[in-house]
Amino acid sequence: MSFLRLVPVILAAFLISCISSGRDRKRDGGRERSATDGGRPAACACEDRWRIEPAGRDVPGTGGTPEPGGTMVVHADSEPPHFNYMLKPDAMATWIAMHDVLETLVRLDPRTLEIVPELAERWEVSDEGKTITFHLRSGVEWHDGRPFSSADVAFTFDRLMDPNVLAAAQRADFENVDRWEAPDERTFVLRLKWVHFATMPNLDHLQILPRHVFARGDFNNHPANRAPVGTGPFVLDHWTPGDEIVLVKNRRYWGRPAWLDRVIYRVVRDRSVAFEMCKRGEIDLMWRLLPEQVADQLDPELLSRYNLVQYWPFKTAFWVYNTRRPFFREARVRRALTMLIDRDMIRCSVERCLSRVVGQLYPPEQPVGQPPIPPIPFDPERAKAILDEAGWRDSDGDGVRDKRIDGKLVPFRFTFLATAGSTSLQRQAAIVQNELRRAGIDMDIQQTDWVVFSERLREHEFDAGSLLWVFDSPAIDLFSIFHSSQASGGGVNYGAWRHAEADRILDEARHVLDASRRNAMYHRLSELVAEEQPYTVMLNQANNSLVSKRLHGVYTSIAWYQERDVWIPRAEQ
Amino acid sequence: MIRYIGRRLVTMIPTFFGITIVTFVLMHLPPGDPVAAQVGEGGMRASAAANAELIEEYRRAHFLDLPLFVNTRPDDMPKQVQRLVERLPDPERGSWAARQLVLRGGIILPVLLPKLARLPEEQRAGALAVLSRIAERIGATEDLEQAADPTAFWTGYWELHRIDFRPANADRLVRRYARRGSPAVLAELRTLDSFIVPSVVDALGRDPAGGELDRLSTLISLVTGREVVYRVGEPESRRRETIADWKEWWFKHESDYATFRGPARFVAMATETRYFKWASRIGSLSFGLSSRDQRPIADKLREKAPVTLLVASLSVFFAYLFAIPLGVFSAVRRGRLADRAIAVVLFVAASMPGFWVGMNLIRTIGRAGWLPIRGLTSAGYEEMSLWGKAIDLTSHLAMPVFCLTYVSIAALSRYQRVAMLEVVRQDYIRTARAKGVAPRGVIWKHAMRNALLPVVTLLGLQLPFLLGGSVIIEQLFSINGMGLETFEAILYRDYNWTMAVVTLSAVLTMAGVLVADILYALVDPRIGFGGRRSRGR
Repeated sequence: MSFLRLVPVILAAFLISCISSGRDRKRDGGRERSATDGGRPAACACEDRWRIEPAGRDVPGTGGTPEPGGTMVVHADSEPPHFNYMLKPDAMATWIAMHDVLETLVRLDPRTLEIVPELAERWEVSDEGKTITFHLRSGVEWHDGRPFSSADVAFTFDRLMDPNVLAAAQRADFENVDRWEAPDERTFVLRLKWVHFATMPNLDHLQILPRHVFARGDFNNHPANRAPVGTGPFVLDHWTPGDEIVLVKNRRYWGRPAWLDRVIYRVVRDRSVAFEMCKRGEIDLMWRLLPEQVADQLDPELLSRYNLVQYWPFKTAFWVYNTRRPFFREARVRRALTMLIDRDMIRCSVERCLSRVVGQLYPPEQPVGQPPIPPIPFDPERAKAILDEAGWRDSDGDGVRDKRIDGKLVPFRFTFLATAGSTSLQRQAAIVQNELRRAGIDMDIQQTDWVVFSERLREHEFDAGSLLWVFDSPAIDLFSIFHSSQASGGGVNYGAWRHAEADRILDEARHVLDASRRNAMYHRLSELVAEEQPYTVMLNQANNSLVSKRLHGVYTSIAWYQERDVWIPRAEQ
Repeated sequence: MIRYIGRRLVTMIPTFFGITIVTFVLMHLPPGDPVAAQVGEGGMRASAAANAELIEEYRRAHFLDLPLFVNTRPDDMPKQVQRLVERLPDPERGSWAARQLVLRGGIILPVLLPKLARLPEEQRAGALAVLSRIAERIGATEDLEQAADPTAFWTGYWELHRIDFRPANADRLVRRYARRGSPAVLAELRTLDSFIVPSVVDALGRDPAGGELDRLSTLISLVTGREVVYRVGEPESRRRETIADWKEWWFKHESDYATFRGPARFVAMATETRYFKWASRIGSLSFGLSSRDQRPIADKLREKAPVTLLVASLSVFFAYLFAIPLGVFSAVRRGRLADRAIAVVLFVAASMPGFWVGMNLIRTIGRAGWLPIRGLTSAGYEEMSLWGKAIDLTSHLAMPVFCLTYVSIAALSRYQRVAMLEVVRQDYIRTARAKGVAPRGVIWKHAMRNALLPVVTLLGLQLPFLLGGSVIIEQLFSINGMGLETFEAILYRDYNWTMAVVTLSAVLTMAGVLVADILYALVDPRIGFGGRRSRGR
């Protein structure tokens, strides 16, 4: 009986020890918070721990003479709804099928980002850029053996512009298209209403679809959307929902065939489990590792079998301010806010040094030939001085700055909107919240699910929010993000920032085909944005992947890894 | 007993609709709708006009533009034309409106032409551009080009042809063409363009035979620009598919072509609503399309429900298999060391979260390579022998089923223990003991049947869980089941999926309660089916 009385005591002791050991572990990650509470932030420095390079480089030690054959297993953390990019630009579908199963007229070279031929062998531009004549490759076959011709290209454009088709998002990329013709089997002519520099780069994402397959049936939910018939170096073999998507080599590919026999996309919903599968050697390529996984969980045994591949993608996190709110109306106040955000600290503690502080939406290497915009340094003292100067003082002594606007006392109190589920964003916001409170600004953090988040941003029903800007081409028209006409009616200028010079640049730059002239204009735009700070640009986040040492011919690219160039030495197949 | 079941089934129907109506309201209460999920994912490249267009297209495709239960102002073709014409001069949305009008085709002529001359200048310019595109389809281009004043041409055209634009005329022509397919009639039909759509849909509703369907589907494809055609000689299944496809299309697009006047207007007030659009499909067990991937809900259910059913029924089975003996054992040993030890162990187990246990299993057993850690089958499952399949499936199921089972064992065994304690105090048990039945016989033969009642009730309530699935376990072990899909459907406001799951759960819960009641009667002879005997009491 005495033992029985002891049971609860033992149990309690056990539970307490669990809790305290949990706390020990947490203290490591939560160090910065307790430190910032005390006064100045603790020193946190990112020594050169990682070797992260811009995309487009070969992974060292994976060269050699390619040998055909073998199977590569790739981690897929989600499943695409289907593969029809026209209907939904899904990231996973793009990675699996774009250029590998379904091809386009032209594409951006994954290494150099230059426009190179794909289904169009060559093209001519005439009529001051308003007519583009594509000469299509001959001898190209669809995966079902039928010949490819200009009728397929015309069919693709027919569907793109067909109001029956739910393709408004991609239709917008081609809003300048007037007409198209297919004068003969090998020629396709695109006539434009006005010249837009992004038309050719946008073609990189317009998958050419087989007319004979889609000719019958409802395009919006056609079975071929999930069982694509393309012209690419890989054929979709089968898709077992929730389990795997398997591509096999197209032996009758018009170009150099792929080296690999099969590529298996293995669906693993949980990233920690995928990581375990790497440890078991069941996955050859896992991308988008979490910062904690890179920083804490890579052991030498794993690294003896896998390369840690890191590069800078076109992926930038930023905070957007609703400039219609009284406290975000003035540019200098927004600059002060940026000075209060310790991006180095966030980079070091939350991001585990796997990102870099930047001053523009483009990564520093872009646009080509232009110097990067330096980020505004973290400087709380100077920020406070600016806020005082702008009339934001704590007049009622409640610890929060305020200002009399239109006869009303407005406290500097705003809500930061974040999508739920991201712990790194929560920690990031907590760090900023602390620093702002010390400067007399009260920031409330509110989390919502993505649907509500995006709706509130679009309706401008928010104070400040966090966004991630991901793109896959160096030639992006910034019109929709910064132009004042896009500040209402469903546009993505969420902050409703309006600036006359920026409008002028955006109106003009989209018609400029000469890249260096356009880049100079966009550089000026970036300078304006840096000056006005409608956004606080935070960090350019690295892409971290585990790539099995079995895989050769691997190089990084903002268009992900190129399966067609990967090969496996015969000994390791 | 059969009468009893029949009566219960009848009362289930209003209950069922009550549940769906309440769910329908609740589901639409939280902010945000599937459109937001769709637009946000389009990236930040699209212009405001394109986003607005996407939103409108998408709302229409999923009936989100309709009110929930009562439509006081049902939208029909003439109203839409009116709105679209007003929008024509808009520099950003004008081209979209024009495209929509051209898509509607000839059916807009009876609405547009009579008032063409009275339209404001800039609207008329846009309308004329639209009409010139429609002229190509009705074969009036040459005349139009020769005419000096297009407005006058169209007014004159209407004077001349209004007699043809009558539903009765369209019906007659369509019937004649469907029967014989003469080129002369076809030429006449082409001049009416999409005005014939309601007549063709009518004809499709009469289950046309192969040859007729060939001509009808070709006709409607020509005027709607949506190519879904049946050819003579294709299999019967294809014939049915084609008819179903066009019916589905009409279901979505009726208000683009129909005019609601008189009694039709009152009907439309009820039918042109989101709830009606949803409920009218329930009869045919079609739950519509998933807003996230445009796949039919029924297909997705067929794919995911069996997986969840397998995993959940195994876990329920094992939970009962272990919980009942454990409960009985604790009851028999009440207050003794074994009882307390079991209680402690079970409570500790029940308080460990499933994801934590699952992750630890993966990190230990999984890392050691003893059991697979994802999915239900290995690659090459299809080629395995029956025995190999069984082993493969078992090894995959072991960890997820364990994670689902251990939590419910605790609660269930407590129920069983209490029920058993209750029963062993009864007089008849004492009697049995007194007359010298062995202790084992007393428990298993005399007490057990009564002590099972509460857990049998619980079993009835487990039925919906069999289809509900578990979000965390499915995520962890990459199981393609219902839980994760439902979770994401709620996040992304996939109303059709949510409604389908709720409907199925409602049916299963009601069925479960019924089954439990019947089981009661079987386990306990004192409980009847509400027949004459019990009513008399």
